Amino acid sequence: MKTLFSTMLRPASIIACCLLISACSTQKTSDNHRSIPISWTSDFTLPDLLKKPIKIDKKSDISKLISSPWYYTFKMKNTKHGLANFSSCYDYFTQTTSHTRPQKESEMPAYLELKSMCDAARILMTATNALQSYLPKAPLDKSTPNFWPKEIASQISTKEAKRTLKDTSLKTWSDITHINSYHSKSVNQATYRYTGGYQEINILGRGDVNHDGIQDLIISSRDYTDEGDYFNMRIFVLSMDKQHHWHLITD
Amino acid sequence: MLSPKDIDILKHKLEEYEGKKPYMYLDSKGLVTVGVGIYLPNINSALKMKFRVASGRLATKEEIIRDFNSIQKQPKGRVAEYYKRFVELHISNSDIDTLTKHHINSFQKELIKVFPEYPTFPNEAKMALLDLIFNVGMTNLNTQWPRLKKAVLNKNWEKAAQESNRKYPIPPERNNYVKNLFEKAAKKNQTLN
Repeated sequence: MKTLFSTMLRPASIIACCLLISACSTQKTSDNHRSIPISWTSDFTLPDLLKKPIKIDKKSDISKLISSPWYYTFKMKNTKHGLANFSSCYDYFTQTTSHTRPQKESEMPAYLELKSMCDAARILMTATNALQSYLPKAPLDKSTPNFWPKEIASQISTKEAKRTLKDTSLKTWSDITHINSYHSKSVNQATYRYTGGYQEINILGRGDVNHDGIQDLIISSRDYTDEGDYFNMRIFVLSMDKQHHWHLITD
Repeated sequence: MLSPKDIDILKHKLEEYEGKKPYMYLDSKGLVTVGVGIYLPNINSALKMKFRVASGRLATKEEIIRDFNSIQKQPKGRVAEYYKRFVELHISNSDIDTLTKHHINSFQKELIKVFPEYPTFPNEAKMALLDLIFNVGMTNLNTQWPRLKKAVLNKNWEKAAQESNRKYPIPPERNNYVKNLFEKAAKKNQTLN
């Protein structure tokens, strides 16, 4: 984890933090004067998807990613200006519509990678330091689908998804798709398999996204089927409240 | 089974959705792939392909292994063109076409496993199901689409049309194509009855 103020911490605050080991380890704060900095992980891959990779050490560096050229220029259709080239997050932010897609349909998966990472960058840029956090240090484990909201579940059928979203008895991800296996690749990356497909979940970062003072979790879900070429990539912001319940902030 | 003309239509559709690349690249899952989404699970499967060097000569075992290993270590999630710089070999257009047609036939065999009456389905329904199975695969189609599956088993093509829609990022044109095919199958059934 690279943290925004990691290089700016004063010696006094480091000592204070060490004295309050239990509070620091759970990232909770005992007063409103201390803040939990925005952070991002190496799974926030936008810097690697640029023509010239950029190193981001602090929050202000993220804005550099927005105008930096992507490794590839996508020829797009249905943009605000009809046909257009997208070669940066700036192009995507300023010209996209809900119908925008690459002119070559086969480029959609690669475009989704960039689009999702641009969305994550925008979330990180607008997030603020949190006053409190109830998030676990390692949120991805075998039981995660039992607690995360049902919107996280990958569903391809429009009608089946509408039915499950409407059904109030279904609340969690595992209520929608029964997870058969779990494989952890790192503390920030895990794969959850169900019959017919799998989801690769990555933790991209942490910060107060909805400005309620509580730290939120920014994640991506890469959705695959076992066979077939289906691919989707989605970004979610989740949070955990004082009662340790997970909530969906945005999707 | 489908006529050569229908298989040609499907081949062109697949090329549009998957792209057609004569060299090895990584698909969205990070798997080594060639042609129109032909998955190469290991070096042995790559060695069975007729890869050629730029001059047209058939590639040696060592050359194929070199390309395969070179692609396998690249990051996933890029456009297929990105991987071109890491390989030297290609397969011919006619070899890609043969592989794609073989791929389509293997999917027809998969569909028979789920829908034993598949060979008797109207051609339009077969084409719609093939589009779905290319995209989501047999296991997903069999387990995550209960109402569509039931409609197909009952040859209720109208219901199948209603249940066939896939969420973003599937393009509306592709959804409409499949829906229209099922609706045509339904009309054919009505005419016959």
